[in-house]
Amino acid sequence: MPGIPAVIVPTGIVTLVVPSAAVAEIVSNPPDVKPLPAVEPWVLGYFRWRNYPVTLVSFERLAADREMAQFNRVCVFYPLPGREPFDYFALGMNGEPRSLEIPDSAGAVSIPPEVSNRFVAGAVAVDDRTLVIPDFDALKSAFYPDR
Amino acid sequence: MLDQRAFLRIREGGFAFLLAADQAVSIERRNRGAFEPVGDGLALLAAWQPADDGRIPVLRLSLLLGTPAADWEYAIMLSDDSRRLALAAEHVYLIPEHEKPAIQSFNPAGSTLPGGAVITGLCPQTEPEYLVLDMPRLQRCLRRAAAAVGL
Repeated sequence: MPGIPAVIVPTGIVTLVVPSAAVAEIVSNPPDVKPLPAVEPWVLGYFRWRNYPVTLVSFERLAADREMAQFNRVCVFYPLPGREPFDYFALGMNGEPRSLEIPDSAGAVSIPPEVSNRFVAGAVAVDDRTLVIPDFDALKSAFYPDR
Repeated sequence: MLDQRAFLRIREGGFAFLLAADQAVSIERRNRGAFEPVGDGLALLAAWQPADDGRIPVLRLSLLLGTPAADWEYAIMLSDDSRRLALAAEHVYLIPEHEKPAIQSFNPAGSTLPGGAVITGLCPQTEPEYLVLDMPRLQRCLRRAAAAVGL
């Protein structure tokens, strides 16, 4: 029985797993990131992707208040529900991405203590590996407060 | 009064910003001595016009945007029904309507400003890319920041 198509997004603290449908592209070469004023410390700046300006976020800083490891890829996400069609965002990655199908039998496990529960919807164990599922509603609230 | 169809290019803290001039009254260039600091990023600017009976609260753009501050040299006087306010920056340049650069919508995530980001777009064909500021929202932020310190 097919599972849920997903993408593994390694970060410097935990390994995220997100639905494939949420991912627009994995960009291999670290982009030319430009700074932005008046943004939270977890916003690293923006870069150009397919002619769109894309905000680059450090999940390490956002969810664990930890310094971000050097990223070697970025994962570009489609705009969050209800946002403008050009509101792409990206997370810095620290490792190799991988596609997989989360089997229905995958069991829920405890959320690793390294990350804040605020931005995590849950965690599953696949092949003896703990994969953390980000909470996209919480990300949206953090990304666009009062908007 | 400035041409309301014009735009202002502001340089501040290593960034370049584009601002519609529709609520700006004038651009004043003053030396640093004309600004009387009253707080971090705030100052009073005296003698805008001879008819003025009070001093003008001036807010440094870097205070709002968290950018590094350099010398204060320019002040953008803003129209306001109740009182006057000004925005100070390192450099301000008036861009006529016919030279307005193309603007692309952009909502950066993670704004630290109350009410959300004042950045609403950027100019992809300029170098560096100008960040487009929402003038009404910026003015509300200015009023709020000035009121917080009793100006």
